[in-house]
Amino acid sequence: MTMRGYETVVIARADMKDDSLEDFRKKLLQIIEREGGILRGIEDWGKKRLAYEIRRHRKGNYLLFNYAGEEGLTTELERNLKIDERSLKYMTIRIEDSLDEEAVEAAKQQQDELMKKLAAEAEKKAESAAAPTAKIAIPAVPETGASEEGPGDEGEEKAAPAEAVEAEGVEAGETVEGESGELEPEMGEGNAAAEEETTGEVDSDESDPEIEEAAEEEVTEEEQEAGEVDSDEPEPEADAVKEEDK
Amino acid sequence: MIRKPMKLRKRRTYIRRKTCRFCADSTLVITYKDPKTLRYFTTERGKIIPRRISGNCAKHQRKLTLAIKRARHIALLPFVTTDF
Repeated sequence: MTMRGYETVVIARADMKDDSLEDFRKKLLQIIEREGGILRGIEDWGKKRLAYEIRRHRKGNYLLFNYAGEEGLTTELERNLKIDERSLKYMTIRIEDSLDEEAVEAAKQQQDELMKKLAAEAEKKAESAAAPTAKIAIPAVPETGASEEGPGDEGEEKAAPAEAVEAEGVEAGETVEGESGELEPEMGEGNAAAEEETTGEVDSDESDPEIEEAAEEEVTEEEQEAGEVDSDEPEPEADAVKEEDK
Repeated sequence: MIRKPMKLRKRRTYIRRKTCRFCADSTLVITYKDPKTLRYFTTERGKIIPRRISGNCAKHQRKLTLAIKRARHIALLPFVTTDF
């Protein structure tokens, strides 16, 4: 059976707690393992603002899985993603048509290294998670004590080199600071580790003025000529109809 | 025979770049994961800019289109933006 290389991007709900997200991740990893797949890479892009509403959500947590598998793996994975309520959207791409034996071996090695790295990160997380709970155990003032722990957690966890830990720490810091619905202003305030794109804004300074202006003028001229907003489509259709009449 | 009305034929020819941005710089990678780069090639409304204006070569324009469409699917780029 041929092994193929795939890449799946999953948008998970952003309003989940960190451990729910962990569970979700683990569940997907288990599926990959169960169906005989080889995991080659995981990326967590963190919370990002979506370019459009998906199921009434405006933010999502992006996960990327890079894996190789045989027939049926992707189908099973997508089936689970479709059922699970924690996933908002998913997209699978086939990267490699087939992996020969060498590549399969290389992929397995990649997986082993990856698993070790993940295990190491998980241990670090467990350690740093254990420490703050010791702090909270001090019978100090409850509410203010908790909010002081927030930046403290952030500082501690940012010191850890692993990326995943950093992302989690920043997220934990953010949620402690404000549980309000609008996370955007806080995210925008230069959180370098979790710098997200606000895709709704268009930076006209950065984009090529030539291209933008030319394209915009083209659009408006078409609008004037055809008298409609989207004049791209009617024109070719009209041409086709006229040619048929001949 | 109905010919295309003359007024539609008159169109200003716009200046466009002479070289493909990706051919010139071979280190630029076209990927759907990079909305910043992709957004150069869409209008403010979110439409994909045609090749005769962006100056891309055919091969790269095809890849670019595919990448943009994938990014749209994953909500990294919008399909349409209507707010100004």
